[in-house]
Amino acid sequence: MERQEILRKVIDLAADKLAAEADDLSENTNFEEDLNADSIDLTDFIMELESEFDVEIPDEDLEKIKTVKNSVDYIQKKL
Amino acid sequence: MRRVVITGLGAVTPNGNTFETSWNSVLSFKSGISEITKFDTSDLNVKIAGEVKGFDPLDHGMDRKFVKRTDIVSQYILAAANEALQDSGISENYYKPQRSGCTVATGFGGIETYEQNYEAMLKIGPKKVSPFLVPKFLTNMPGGWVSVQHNLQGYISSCAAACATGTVSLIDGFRAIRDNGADMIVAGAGEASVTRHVIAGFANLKALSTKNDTPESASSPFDRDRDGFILSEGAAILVLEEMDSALNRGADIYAEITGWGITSDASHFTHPSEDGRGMVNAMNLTLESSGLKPKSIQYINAHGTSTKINDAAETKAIRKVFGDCAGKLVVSSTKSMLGHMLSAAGAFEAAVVAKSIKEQVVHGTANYRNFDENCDLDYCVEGHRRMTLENVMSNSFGFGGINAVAAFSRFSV
Repeated sequence: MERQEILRKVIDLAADKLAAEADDLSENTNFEEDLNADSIDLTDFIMELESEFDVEIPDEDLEKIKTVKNSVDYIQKKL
Repeated sequence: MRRVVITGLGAVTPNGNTFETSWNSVLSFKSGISEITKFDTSDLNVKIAGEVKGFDPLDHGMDRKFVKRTDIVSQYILAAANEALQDSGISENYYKPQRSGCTVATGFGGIETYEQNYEAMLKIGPKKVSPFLVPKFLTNMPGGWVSVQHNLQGYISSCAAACATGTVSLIDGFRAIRDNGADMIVAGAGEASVTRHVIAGFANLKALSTKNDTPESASSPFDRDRDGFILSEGAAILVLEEMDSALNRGADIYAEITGWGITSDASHFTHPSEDGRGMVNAMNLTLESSGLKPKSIQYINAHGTSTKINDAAETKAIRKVFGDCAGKLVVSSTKSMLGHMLSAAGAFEAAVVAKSIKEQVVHGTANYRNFDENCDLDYCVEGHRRMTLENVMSNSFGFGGINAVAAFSRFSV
């Protein structure tokens, strides 16, 4: 999958799960700082990433996924 | 003794998404019952309900994040709470958060969320169960959210009392203020359980009306041909305040809560006892605790569900408690227009009673056509009636044999 396509999907999922507008999100968007996400919001978002891209994201990797860019990098590596 | 007054009302019902629209509709005999639109009813024998219509939480002071984290039942309740607090004119300038609280409950909690997650788990697996399932489903969450949104740091509770929940919540809030545990309480209940699953459960219990072809007249409390209640959804909230603090801030007072009674039938798990003993006991306790005599009550907002057994037992119980005075009482059923909002019913009916006392008018019982010898009181079947209201009672009865009654009086210092 192309990086651009992953980015598009991550942004759509983040907008849906973290109650934001897709147009306001970029690679630099930080989920906690910019979208005021708490740990339950993030769990919900990560579960959706796993399901959308059919990947497993172990709990110890959650620390690595703080921004849209982190998410895209992580998924690109896994795919 | 500390006195407790009602200063704010809010509601979301099948007849409107504010208290005022809902109140006006019951005064004008408008039914909120219609064909179910939320799900397929082709294989159900009950196809009608009182659905809330056109509700958008974003129109009621909630944002997308709140909506995502909450079941619709919390959204109905928060909409009603926001309206009630605004109506009361109270703001954080006037209440101490540590002495302000919340007695808000729900019967079925976030049942829709529960059903969706259970279905996803069966179809796909536990991975599809949302981390929001538990906080969206728990029955104390709507109250929790009201306290979060309005910074109510004092007393909090959420009772479980089936169809009497709204009235028990109100009584709980009343007692918290009277016993000096709080000065202001947001009290009430909400329900969002018009789902395929719940309709099937009540329908198979033979509790619901099957007058599918005439939804608007299907709820006919005290009528000879009544055949069950109509499941409805919604929420209602009342702001309760200690009298002196309400007067000190110049609050507009609807009515005073003056008595209560809660009892158990201790007989059958769904049917009221035929002699209405639990109802009688609850009404008598309410008279005792308020110091009122039967002749001082002008109006009873009945539980009046439109089931054969409730309406006959309630009538019998009223006759027993009021004796010779029963003939002078006016009795009406809000459920004749709104159906049965379960936990929210008692809360909305309390709000209706408060408004009735303020406006000195009672709404009637709609859809009454034929006399039933077991139901022989003045049910105000012709429409609303202007009358002097000094003291009023509101009855709520629920599965498990619970009976909850509250007394309300016209306010004067």
